[in-house]
Amino acid sequence: MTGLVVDSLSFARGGRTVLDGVSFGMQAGEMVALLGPNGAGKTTLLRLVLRLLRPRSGRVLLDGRAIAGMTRRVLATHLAYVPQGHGVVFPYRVRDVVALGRLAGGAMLAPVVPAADRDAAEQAMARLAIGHLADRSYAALSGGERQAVLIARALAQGARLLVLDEPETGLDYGQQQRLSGLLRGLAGEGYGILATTHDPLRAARIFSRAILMREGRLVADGPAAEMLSAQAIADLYGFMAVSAPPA
Amino acid sequence: MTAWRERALWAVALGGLLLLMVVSLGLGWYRVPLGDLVGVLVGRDGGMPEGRRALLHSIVLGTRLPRIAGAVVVGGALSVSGAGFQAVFRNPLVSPGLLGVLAGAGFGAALGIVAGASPMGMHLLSFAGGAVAVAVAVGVARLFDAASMLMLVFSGLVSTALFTALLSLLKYVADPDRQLPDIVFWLLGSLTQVTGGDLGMMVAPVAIGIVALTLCGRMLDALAMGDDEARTLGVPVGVLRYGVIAVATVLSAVTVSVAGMIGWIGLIVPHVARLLAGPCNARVLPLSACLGGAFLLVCDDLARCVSVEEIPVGLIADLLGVVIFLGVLRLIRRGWAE
Repeated sequence: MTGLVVDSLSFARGGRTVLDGVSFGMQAGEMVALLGPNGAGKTTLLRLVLRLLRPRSGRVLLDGRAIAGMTRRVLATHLAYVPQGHGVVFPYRVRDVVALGRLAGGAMLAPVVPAADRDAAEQAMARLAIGHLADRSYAALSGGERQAVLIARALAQGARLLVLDEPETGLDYGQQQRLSGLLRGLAGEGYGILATTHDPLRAARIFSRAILMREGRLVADGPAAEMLSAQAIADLYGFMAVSAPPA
Repeated sequence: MTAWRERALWAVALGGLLLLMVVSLGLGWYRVPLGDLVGVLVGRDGGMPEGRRALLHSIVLGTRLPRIAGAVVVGGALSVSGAGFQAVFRNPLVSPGLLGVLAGAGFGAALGIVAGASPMGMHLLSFAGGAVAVAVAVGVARLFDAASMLMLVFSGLVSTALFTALLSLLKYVADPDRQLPDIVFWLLGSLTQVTGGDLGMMVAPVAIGIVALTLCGRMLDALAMGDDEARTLGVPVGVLRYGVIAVATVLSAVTVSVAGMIGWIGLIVPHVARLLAGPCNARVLPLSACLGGAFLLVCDDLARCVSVEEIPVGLIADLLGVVIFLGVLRLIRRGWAE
């Protein structure tokens, strides 16, 4: 099977089970939202998929191969990570940050960025419409701009599966709308998108599929619009449903 | 940085360093006229009387050249080492001594003095002391949490404290008339003892170290984004971190074993390099080598020429470092992202 397969993944921290037998699979072109209250294990699941944590049991497969046996470099050519916009101590330019996406696919030990990699970075910046930021310092950008840079870096990486950690955090309404359009466009081109999110109403409109998690378990998995009914959201987050269903 | 600006930067840095070396060959208490200096350097000194020719060869090529080359190699190596440590720890305030290499090397040299070791034995003991101190720091860190950078910094403090204490112990038991002054003088740092042999011993490891770290430049840039992010970009973070620490430690320990304690040049120079070339490590590392070499050479010229009695170069490097650091602090601040 192609795509990503998460096979009965469990994880414990300090004797406490954080993730308990989570399984799901996703294909290229799918947009999957990962929802659940704080502490449900969403971020842990992302980190396991990225192999930043080692599972207690279970495994993650990419195109049928266990990621546990891959080198970092090979993994990075399949799977790109878009973290939440963060600070960096040294004042790297946007161009430099995006070009880092080419490390895994290009020459890791080249002291200068090879021309082909520079071109790939330029294309990714053009795709995100941030070409005008290329020579600005990444650290001096706003939250929305930083996120665009990190997405451009993920595209430059050439991986077909993008993993995003709460991508709408810190974005204003317009930026959120643009992000949604961009992610849908990428899914339309065959990118697989896996993102944690705190906004079920938005997720219901934008994502093709929603995975609901609570207390380390997967509680629902299906088409986002169906999974995220007013009642399901209320149950998931533990409050009484009073409002109308999401538009 | 545009291509021509980058070329200009390297031309100025390398050309300046070379020019500085030639000028330095002419400096000193025995005045060598420029014409004679050039004659000796390019081998067109056939017209000189034999005695003068031999004298000039002895002064310029026999005495000054090893020392000048030594200053450049030591300054360059320490600066690259500092830049490497700063990249690996994602911290602009880190110096090569963070994991105890300077304290350990100081202890090793003092041990050599107390034990009456040969000059070669001194080099080896000092180098081994530096390497052991860093190994202690890394070992302690791995005992508790191999993945934690904070733990590594703490272990470095522990190792530094341990070897500083052991050094104090040696000072306490050293013969106050013969050995103690030697220890104190060695700790001040000096290039007077650098011989052609030392230089031969240093050049290869230092050159390899600088090239190796420079080749890791882009991976170190990725590391600046954080360990996890670097991993998802394909960088083997653990191998890179400990590999760079090992190379940077060798660079520091080699130079300290030859020239004594010449400390915080490794902290300042990378900042100036970043100011000139931006934060990308593939530029910062080699530029730090050029600037550090030039800086220590100027310091050593002052050490040789300011007074008849030579001043320890480590002392001058510290003083001049303070002045330069204050001078560029405002500019350097711009080089740190808030």
